[in-house]
Amino acid sequence: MMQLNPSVPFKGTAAGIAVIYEKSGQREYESSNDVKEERRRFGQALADLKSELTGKAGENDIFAAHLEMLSDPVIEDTVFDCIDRGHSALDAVKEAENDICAMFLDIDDEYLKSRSDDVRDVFAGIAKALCGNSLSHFELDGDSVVVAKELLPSDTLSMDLGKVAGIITETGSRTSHVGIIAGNWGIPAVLGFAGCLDKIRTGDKVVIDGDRSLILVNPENEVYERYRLLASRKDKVDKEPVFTGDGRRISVMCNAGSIREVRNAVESGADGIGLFRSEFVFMQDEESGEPSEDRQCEIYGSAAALCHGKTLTIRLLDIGGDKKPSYVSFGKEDNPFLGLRGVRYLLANPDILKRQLRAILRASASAEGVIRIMIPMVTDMKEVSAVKDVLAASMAELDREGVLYDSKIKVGIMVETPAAVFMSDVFAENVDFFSIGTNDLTQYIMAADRSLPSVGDLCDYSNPAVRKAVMLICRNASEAGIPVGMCGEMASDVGQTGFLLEAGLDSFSVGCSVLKNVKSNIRKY
Amino acid sequence: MVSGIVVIEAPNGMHARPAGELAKLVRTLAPSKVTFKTPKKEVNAGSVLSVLSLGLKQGTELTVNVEGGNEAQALESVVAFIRNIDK
Repeated sequence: MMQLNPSVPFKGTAAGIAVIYEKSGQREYESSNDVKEERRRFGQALADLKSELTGKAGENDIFAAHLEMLSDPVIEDTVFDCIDRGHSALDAVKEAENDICAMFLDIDDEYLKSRSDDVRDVFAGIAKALCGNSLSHFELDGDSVVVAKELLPSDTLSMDLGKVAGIITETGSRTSHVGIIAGNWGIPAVLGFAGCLDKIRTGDKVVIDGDRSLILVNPENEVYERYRLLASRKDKVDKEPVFTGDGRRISVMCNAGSIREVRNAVESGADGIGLFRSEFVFMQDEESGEPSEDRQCEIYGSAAALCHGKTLTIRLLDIGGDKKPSYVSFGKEDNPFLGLRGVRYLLANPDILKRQLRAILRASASAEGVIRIMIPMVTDMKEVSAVKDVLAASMAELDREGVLYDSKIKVGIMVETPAAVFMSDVFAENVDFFSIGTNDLTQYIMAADRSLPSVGDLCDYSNPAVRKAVMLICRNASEAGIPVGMCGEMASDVGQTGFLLEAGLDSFSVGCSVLKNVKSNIRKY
Repeated sequence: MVSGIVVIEAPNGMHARPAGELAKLVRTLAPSKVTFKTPKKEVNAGSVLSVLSLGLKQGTELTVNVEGGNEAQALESVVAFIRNIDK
């Protein structure tokens, strides 16, 4: 048994059988010596690679970026030009790679300069496709530790990453693309460990121990099995429900502003989505203007499906203030934060409100009990009644059209204005839930613009004024028997958890990246 | 033709992902032709690789030129995009 101490930092625990990954050597390529044929072959290789990447682009930003590069006219132009001068497609690809990478030589920023690695990887992919190698799969049994001199994102395309327990490479680093891919998959990776190929052979039992910064090669069976158990436990995403020390069940959800964030949140063990910012749906295709009801319905439906029965809290379109799509014209406002925004904007544009409500209702049909509606920027009960009227009218319309929807769909409000705080006892009797929006609430209560350096410091949610508001909201919610959650930054601040639990908050909605932290913190109380 | 000057604010500058998204955006702005100009050179903003080769790091001042089509609108979209990188 051998113990290795890599000098590069790494995290995570893994135990598996080593598989050495070697790239195929100098590629075999026979030119057809016919310009037309070489052009066709290149075109085909490009198309093949594009379709392979399109499949992966949804998973990963890196492949999406590579796909964009493949569509860059510069590549085709340079390659065709070279082929026309009598070179083979492969030689043309090599020449184009060198020409384009040369453009990066005089960049004086290390990080941006190293983007030429992306270019090289893209060309490696083209060359592979040209030589007919792109679809060759690198076979792996479950729980393999892949050991290689170098791994590029394109190499990971031909691997089933679900079967990779760990990665060890001689070159690269944590911040390289493979480091990022490994991080996304939760695969412990030791990158930049020079000489590892001298020490490990295919078939060796390998243990990666990030806590003690060591690698074991062929340890005793007992040790190996212990690590296998440890690795499988750590892999488990924390999907356990959260209880405080004294047994109160607290819901810990995530905020999301896109379908991908919803997916990440659910996969990370969130109890649901406490704030689904619907603005992205309206900001997405700005050139085509406002999204249609069908398009909206599709998106809300996808998000709801991803929740697998957990709650999806859709906040109605909240624009105005600092969020304005280009196809909407707002009059001149001296104080946009005190202007036509949130529910006011919606009530002033009833067709937009109705369209969104209809889309949400239609989407709720296939996910009963999942979707709930949240009204932003409420100050007056009349606003809630007005929205509920439009909701009822939409339901009546859908009934006439014979379209299904969740008739018991819950409607709640964001509590983010002083008026809503003072009247929270009345609101609590008339809505199904509260969500405290501390970001805007703090600004309004402290009467200060958080982006202004001269007064920004006043916008502190731990100020007693804000705390008093939170306590009042929670008390009124509790008395009316409705759940109260929080989706502002205050919820993710572990320094505030004790106070919030004491005030009576039932649920926290935080960014996905801090989910684990917030959960473990709540458990301490 | 219209021009605008914008400073790259994002800490990682114009790296692969935003450069790719930008190229996509520029394609939708056709028939407007968008180019980026730095003291070094001027490139087609619809070419990811050309944009990346400019090495636009944080603090770089960039001139955006738009020719043809709805020039003002296109310029605004591109400038807004650059301002929102990694936000």
